[in-house]
Amino acid sequence: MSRKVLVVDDDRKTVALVKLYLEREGFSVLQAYDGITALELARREKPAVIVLDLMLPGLEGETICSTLRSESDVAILMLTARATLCRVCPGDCPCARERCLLRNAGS
Amino acid sequence: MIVLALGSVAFYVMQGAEQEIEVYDDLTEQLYLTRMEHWLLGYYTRGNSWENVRASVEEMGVLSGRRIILTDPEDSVIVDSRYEFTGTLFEKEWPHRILMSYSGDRVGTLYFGPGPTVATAYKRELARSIGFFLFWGSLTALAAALVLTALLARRLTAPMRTLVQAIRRIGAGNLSGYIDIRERGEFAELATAFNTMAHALAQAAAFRKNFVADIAHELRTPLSNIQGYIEAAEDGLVSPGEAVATIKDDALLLHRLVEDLQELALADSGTLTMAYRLCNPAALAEKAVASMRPAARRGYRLYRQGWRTWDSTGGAGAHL
Repeated sequence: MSRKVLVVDDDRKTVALVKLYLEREGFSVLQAYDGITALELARREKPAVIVLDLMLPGLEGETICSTLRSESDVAILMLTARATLCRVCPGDCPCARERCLLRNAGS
Repeated sequence: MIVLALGSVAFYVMQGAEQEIEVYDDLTEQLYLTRMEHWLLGYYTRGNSWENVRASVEEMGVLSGRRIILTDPEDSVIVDSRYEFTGTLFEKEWPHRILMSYSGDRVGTLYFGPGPTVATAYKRELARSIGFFLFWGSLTALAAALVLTALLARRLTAPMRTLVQAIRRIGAGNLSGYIDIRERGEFAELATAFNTMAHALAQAAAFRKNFVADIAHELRTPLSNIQGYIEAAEDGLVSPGEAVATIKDDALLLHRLVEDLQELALADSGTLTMAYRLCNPAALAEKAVASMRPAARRGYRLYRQGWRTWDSTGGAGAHL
């Protein structure tokens, strides 16, 4: 099994921090700071796990997540500073959007 | 109370009508008496006696509907239209006219019998009917007016009740409490204004929710980094110096965010004061473009244009 992990976040320090921990555990870390690059790297490098932020320049994490899920069974770990995953309902999320995102991410 | 008032009005109308009828009867009686007086005097003058006057007096009684008695100068009854007192001495105090000849001699007395005539009885019945119809007519009109007023009031106040319910819904936090506009005119304008207000409130609420969520996100990112780099330093993944430098950057970022929020709050309350000074717009534009460059998509290029001729301009430096 591939030991590659793709870390996607527009905050470079967050990416660097996650990378430090993953490399200590022996993973090979790929980095992306925007959605387009993340999608390209995911398709080309086929990582075992993708650590994905929600709010990204270019393509939003939610779009990347659903696109990748339609293409492969790659494990996706959503990494966000938001209280909820749903942007439509910032508080309690009664809509199917968050559940759909969680299902796509494999949570 | 209203029924009592209507009953009183009907009673007084009835009484007034009866009084008017009595006055009318008195006047009619006087008119009859005058006419009979003139006719009888003419009769007496033509024959110089009351001979064969019976048929005429009886006819007068029939026509007037009253009892007619004609006496001679000694009050002995010559003719009684009802035959009762004929030939007797008449001593009753009835309405009468003394018949004087043109030479000034008393030739007889004309008495007019008391009691209501058929016409008077009919008129009194008419007065009672007027009172009766007035009372029941007014009562019916009042009932109809009350029913119509209640229906009209219900119709007029229905839109207001709808508005009050919508206000209560919004007051309870349901900002989707719009009014279904079916009326026209002033209420339609009011409902439209209310719906516009409700829509604006809903938009403001949604914006506030998203804004708070975005602010929380913006604050949480540097805080997570600070926490993460402290733990990384503790775990020996980064050197303390490297961790401190990163933490310092994030602390400054947090400081700027809090200052921005404070300025936003001041601007929102209208108490934000601007300190104007000269600045270089070209440099400011370059700075703005540079700050957006990392967020731009690959394959796109951000550049500024048209600022070269601007050396300096007035502005609230820190807010530009």
